[in-house]
Amino acid sequence: MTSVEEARAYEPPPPPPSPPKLASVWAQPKGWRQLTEVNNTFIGVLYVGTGLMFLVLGGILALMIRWHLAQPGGTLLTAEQYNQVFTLHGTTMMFLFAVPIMEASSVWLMPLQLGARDLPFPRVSAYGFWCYLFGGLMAYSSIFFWVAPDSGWFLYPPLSTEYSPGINNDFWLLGIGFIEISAIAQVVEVVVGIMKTRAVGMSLDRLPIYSWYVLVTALMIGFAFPPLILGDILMEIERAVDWPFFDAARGGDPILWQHLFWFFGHPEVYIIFLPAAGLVSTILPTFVQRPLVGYTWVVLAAVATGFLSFGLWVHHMFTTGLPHLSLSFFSAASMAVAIPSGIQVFCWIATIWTGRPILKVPFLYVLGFLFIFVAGGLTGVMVAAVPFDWQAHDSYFVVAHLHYVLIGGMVFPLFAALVYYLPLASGRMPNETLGRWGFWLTFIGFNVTFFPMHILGLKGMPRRVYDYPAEMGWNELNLIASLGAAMLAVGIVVFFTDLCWSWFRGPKAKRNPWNAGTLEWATALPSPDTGFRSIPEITGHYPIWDDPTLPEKIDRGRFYMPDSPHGDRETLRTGTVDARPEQILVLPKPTWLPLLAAVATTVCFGVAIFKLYWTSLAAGLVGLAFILIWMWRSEVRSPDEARDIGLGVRVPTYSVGPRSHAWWAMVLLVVMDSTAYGGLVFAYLFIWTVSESWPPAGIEATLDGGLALVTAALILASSLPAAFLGNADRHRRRHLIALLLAAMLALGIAGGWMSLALLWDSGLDPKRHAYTALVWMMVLFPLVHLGIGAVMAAFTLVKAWVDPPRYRWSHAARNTGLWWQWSVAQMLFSLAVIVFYPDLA
Amino acid sequence: MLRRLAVPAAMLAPTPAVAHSGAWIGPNELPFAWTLDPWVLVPLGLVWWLYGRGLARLWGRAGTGRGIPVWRAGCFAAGMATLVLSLVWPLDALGGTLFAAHMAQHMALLVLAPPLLLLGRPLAALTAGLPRRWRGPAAGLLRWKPLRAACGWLVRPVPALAVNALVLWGWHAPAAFNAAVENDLIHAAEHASFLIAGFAFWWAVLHPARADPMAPVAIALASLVTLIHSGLLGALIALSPVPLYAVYAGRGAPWGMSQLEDQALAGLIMWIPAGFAYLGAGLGLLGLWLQGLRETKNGPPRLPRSIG
Repeated sequence: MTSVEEARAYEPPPPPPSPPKLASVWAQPKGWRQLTEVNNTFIGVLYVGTGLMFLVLGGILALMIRWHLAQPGGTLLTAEQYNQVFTLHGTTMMFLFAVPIMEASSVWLMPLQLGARDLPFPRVSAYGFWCYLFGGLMAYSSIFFWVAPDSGWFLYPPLSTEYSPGINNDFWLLGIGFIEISAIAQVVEVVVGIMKTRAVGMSLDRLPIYSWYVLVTALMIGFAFPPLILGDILMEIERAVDWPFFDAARGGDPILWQHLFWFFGHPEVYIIFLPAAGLVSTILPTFVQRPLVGYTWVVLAAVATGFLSFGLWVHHMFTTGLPHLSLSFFSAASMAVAIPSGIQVFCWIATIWTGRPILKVPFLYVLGFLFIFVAGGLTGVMVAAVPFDWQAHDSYFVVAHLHYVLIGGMVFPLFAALVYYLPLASGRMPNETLGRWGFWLTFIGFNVTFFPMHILGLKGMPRRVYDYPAEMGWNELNLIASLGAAMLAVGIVVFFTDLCWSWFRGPKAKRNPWNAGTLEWATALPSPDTGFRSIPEITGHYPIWDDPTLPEKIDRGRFYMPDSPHGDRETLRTGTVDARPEQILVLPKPTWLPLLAAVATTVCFGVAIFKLYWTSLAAGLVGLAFILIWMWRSEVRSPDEARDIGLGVRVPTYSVGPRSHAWWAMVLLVVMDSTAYGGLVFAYLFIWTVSESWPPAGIEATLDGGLALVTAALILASSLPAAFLGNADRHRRRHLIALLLAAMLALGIAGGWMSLALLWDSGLDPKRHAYTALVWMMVLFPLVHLGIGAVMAAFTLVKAWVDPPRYRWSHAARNTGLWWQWSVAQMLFSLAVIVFYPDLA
Repeated sequence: MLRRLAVPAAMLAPTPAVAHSGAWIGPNELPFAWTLDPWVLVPLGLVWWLYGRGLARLWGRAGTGRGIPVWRAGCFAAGMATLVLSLVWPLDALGGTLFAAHMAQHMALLVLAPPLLLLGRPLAALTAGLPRRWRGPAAGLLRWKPLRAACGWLVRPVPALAVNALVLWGWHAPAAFNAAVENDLIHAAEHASFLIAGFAFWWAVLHPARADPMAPVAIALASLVTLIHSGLLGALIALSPVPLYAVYAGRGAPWGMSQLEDQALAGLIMWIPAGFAYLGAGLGLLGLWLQGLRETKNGPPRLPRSIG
């Protein structure tokens, strides 16, 4: 008997009750106070649910589109309304459904799969979730008043700037920009979670394959979203105060937006696809009862996809008049993406080959994914060929291609995962009959909807048209597509019916009902708030297949941290590579702060849409206050305290510096921020490359080199005390820290003031030209960073003053120093670039 | 380990290249467009000779392929051939006419020659190739603390990344670039700094610090960052509708290329082929590292092996 069959034959006894203390510490608050819960079990389910709600909302818009286009001369929508509906459909599906629901899945699933009680920053998850919910509703609600964004989901200027004076696109820029910030928060959460909170023995080469995918995706979000956020900021500034970054009449360039957008937009496709591929790689082995073939190859393929996607954004711009030579290079490079995708597909096929497929509903969705995604990939190779792309660009062929890739590549795996993990979340089994009906209706409906669109595109039907003449020969295919959409909708309704009905009324599931090998199935069903009764030690990729008695051992508290004797919410921090126990992370208990901070942030962005900037500022300050209170209450403990975690191991409860999760989070934040700043530098240099002369003709005012040097010297000097903060902190020198912070602040404020004087004296009017606007941005961007650093410094200072015993060994001083040095580096770089580069004056 | 870096850097880097000013090279002149500069030829010849001598000694003593496997010697030869192609014929002379050729030369010095040469275990072979009584002083120089400290700092992921970025962005600023094309000395400094930055980066890639198990991951991330920023610079150059480098005005005519076409090709060379080198570096590092982790568990405990 193989170990897999042994595992199937083995039925663990029912779990003994958790020790009362452990259960009570992790119990969710009741009634209204449940909203204060920050545990991933609660937030994760809400998060996934919200994602599905936006799927339905986006789907309703899609049905309106198909209803309207079913016949020529559709009367459901006017042209303006149609523009809003298709823009909001794309925006909702991309930003409010696809990306967030994949992050939601990882927030919910990852701690279980890693063997953690929760991710390391539960309040950040909660804050990110609430921001997403409120921001998403805010952006979507614009359609109820017919003021939704209407320039396509990529919002190309000048259509979105000059020709769209209403507030429509502000909903996109502020609503979506705001949600991107919550995406960034989740990046910090999952990356640090994967690096630091794993089961003992889960070294990186034993990391569950899904976690690898999520890690790659998170890093991609970290590199791709910040430039888009920067682009959002630039466009919002252009719309609000008329700084002409994208205005060709004043030296700006609409193509700059396309670069910033697609530098994000191309990785975005893989940001959506990779976590879904991770779900497939997790689910598929269960339904053939064999381990995934080629673990290392699959990991490398995921990484390769991530790397490649950053070199390829230009292939979305084949028809923008790029140099001809570049097209062949990009065509070749685009086809290279087929290699890692192919490796993954072959690994999946090989895995199916090694076992005997069990055709349950989740596996049907996996097979549907393989079929549709491969078809979508093939049309992708077609549009990667430049001559073909010139024909098919902006036609329904592209619509068909992208829906094959996105629905096939992401929605099908998601549906597979929803059915697959239903028992884990609810403790009940899905209904097989309903599930099959749902699958076949969805699968056939999908193909009937989108396959004809390929032909429509080849017959010349352009995208984003609200009507078409009857004599073009497109009538039948459009009607077929619309009927398919109705069928798809019925399929999705059946699918959701199954999900909802089974959640409450389905038959009780036995432990590990699919006989999976991965760690998350070792918990009792439904997965308790505590996660695992004890944090296990594992030895392979499929811990339950390796040791079928593992669930029982976990239940009996045979492993680490079987109780919570101090009444704290705790999880284990393990070594980044080898996953040895290193520290107990004491996690926060339920609190209102993330929710309150999210409400304030929403108001801050929401009222800015209506140009109520003072209200917006006030709300922003309130939000900041909540976040500072949250920081203030963060646990600060003595590094000397150690606790017993069982099996004769004692670990400390606190650490600072590179070993701590807080330091990692800060470093990640700096790295992500640097890509936003990199986007700004790119924008500045891009405007330089498209200008005939530099500074552009007609701009006489120049920056004073001497003043710039003085500014740079002051700013540089302020980084010196910042460099010593960590050291002073380590040696518990309270007064020295106060002195260093004061010196840093004084020099920084002086330098910041000088940088403003530099701009003021230069006589460069930011409204005059894209160049002048970018010079201002190049200085303002680091200045805002220094301002944030000043708030952090003031916070650390006050904390040192008011709360000396607790203040020692805080992360605040060290992270403030890190942030400050990064801001200084930005400012120095900015000054060097605007004064000296690219033409050494 | 680090002391071994010094030799190729010291021997190869300060080889001044002949500036690309002078007659412009068309297809007919290309076969004769050799850059026969003693400052380049002598060090190249010396390194060839020393390496060959060292290899002969090592292999003579222990058998062919021992110590330095044949494929590594092959890599070294390929690296040296790359240097010849980029510094002697044809890229160096052609680089005075075509910006694209000049860019190809830079990329050869930055991402092609250094990894190939380093894969050939140059320090072992070169020291073995030295006359017996020079080996002591040479080893002494390599053990000299300030030198080791400087090189050790340079090959850590973040400094290697930063130096690489600085060299790439600094020299491709039009003012600096134009100056280099017109002035021999600046040009030599340019090529030397590309080579040094290349050696630093690829040393970091090929010899991640053994003490830190995360070092390969850090340098793989550095490769990703380099892929992105060099791609951005390549994009700026390739997509510019305006000629950026005044020196090359009108020079591409014999090759039937306008200045903009030449410039686009140059930017693309930096963007795509060089990008694939960094992609390969990142993936190779991660793959070997994962495998190393696995072997550590299955066999006797071992440190993750390095590629170099």
